Amino acid sequence: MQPATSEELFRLIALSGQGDRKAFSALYEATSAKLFGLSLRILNRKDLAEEALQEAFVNIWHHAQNYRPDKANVMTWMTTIVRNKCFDMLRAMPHENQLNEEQSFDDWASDDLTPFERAAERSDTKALLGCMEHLAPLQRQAIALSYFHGMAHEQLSHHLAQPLGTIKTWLRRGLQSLKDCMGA
Amino acid sequence: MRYDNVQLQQQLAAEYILGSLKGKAKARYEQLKAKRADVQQQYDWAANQLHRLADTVPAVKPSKAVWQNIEARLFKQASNKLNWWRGLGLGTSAMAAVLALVLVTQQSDVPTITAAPPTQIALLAGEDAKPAFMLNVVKTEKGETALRVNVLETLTPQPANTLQLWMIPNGHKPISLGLLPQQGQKTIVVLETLAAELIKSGLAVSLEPIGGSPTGQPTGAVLYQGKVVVI
Repeated sequence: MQPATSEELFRLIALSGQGDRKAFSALYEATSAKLFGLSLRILNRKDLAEEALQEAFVNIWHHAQNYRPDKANVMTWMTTIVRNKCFDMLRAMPHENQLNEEQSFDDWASDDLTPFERAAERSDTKALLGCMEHLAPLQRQAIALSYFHGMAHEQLSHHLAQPLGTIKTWLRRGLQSLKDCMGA
Repeated sequence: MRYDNVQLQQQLAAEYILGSLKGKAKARYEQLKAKRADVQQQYDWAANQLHRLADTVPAVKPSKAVWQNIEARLFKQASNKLNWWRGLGLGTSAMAAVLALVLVTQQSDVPTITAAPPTQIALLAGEDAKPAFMLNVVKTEKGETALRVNVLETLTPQPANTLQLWMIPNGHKPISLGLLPQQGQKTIVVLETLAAELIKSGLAVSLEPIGGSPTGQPTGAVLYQGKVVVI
C-alpha cells in the first residue's frame, strides 16, 4: 500500500469509529472492490459474495472503534472480517457449491477502479507473489486452498489426494519458506 | 515449554490464519494467544503478512445495491428511532418541566452547579477504555483557545518515545496540536483557525520518536483517542 493511502484508510476508520458516516462511506468507496474480489474468490457466487460484503461492512461500522493500528493495518483488519464472514456462509452452503477453482474472475473484473485499487498492486503484495512463485506448485496450492477456502488438513488431503502427513509437511515447509522469503 | 519455541509459534499462527488449524488444536491456540503476549505478537505479524494473499485477488466493483443495503440497515433505523423519540416530544417536555422544577427547588442548596459555565472536556482513552489524559478547553488571559492537559495516573509512560496529540477534523488529515507531557500538566494553545473545528474533531495520541513525528503526520501506533464533549 502507498503510504498516503494507508494513512487515508486509517483516518477514515478512526472517524468511522467516532460515528462519522461520510468517512464510512469513503472507506467503503476505497476498499469495497478489493474486498468484494476476495469474497467472490471465496464464495464463487455473486449474490452470496454481495451478502457477505454487506454483512462484513455492517460489522466494520459497529467495530470500527475497536480497530487497533498497532496490531494490524486497516486492510488486514477489514480482510479478516470479510474472510470470516465468507467462511461462515461457506460452512452453511451445500458442499458441491463450495469449490470452483477453474472459474474465471476476469469476467467480473471492472476497469472502473478507484486509485486505491490501482495502488493495491503494492510492492509488498508483489513481494508475496514473488515468494509464492518460489514454492513447489502443490505447496502453493495447499496454501491457497487453505487461505481462500478455509480447508483443514483433512480436506486438503482429500482434495489434493495426498496423505495427511504429506499435507502437513507441505504447509509447514511452504509457510516456512514464505516467511524466510518475506523476511522476519 | 514447547510453546516457547518461536518457530512453532510462527507455524501455529500461520496455520491458524490460513484456516488449516481446526478443532482442539485451534481452540488450544486461541487460548494460548489470549494468554501470552509473545504468541499474540507472532500472530499479528503473521496476519499482516499472510493477509496480503487477499490482495492478490483482482478487485471487482460490487453493485450499487450493496451500499444501499448497508446504509439502509445501519442508518435508516437510526432516523426511525429519531422519529420515535420525536413522537414522545410531549412526554419529554413534561419531564423537562419536572427536572426544571427540581433544579429550581435545589438551587438554593447548590448554587454552584447551575451557575457553572458549560465545560468542554475530552478524555483520551486507550483500548482498555481507561482514560490517560484529560483535556479541558480553556481561554488564556490573552483570550486564546487552549487545551489544559492533565496526565492521569493510568498513563503507561513511554520513556523512549514522545506522545503527540492530533486533531482529526472531518474530511481532513490529522493536524498536530503538539507534544504531550507524560506527567503533570501542560497548556497547549490552539491556533484560532483550528479552535472552531476542535470541538467537532476527533482527538488522537500517537507514539512518535523523541521530538515528535518527523513527517507531520502520525507515524506510530495510536494509543489514545477521544473527543471534546460539552458537560
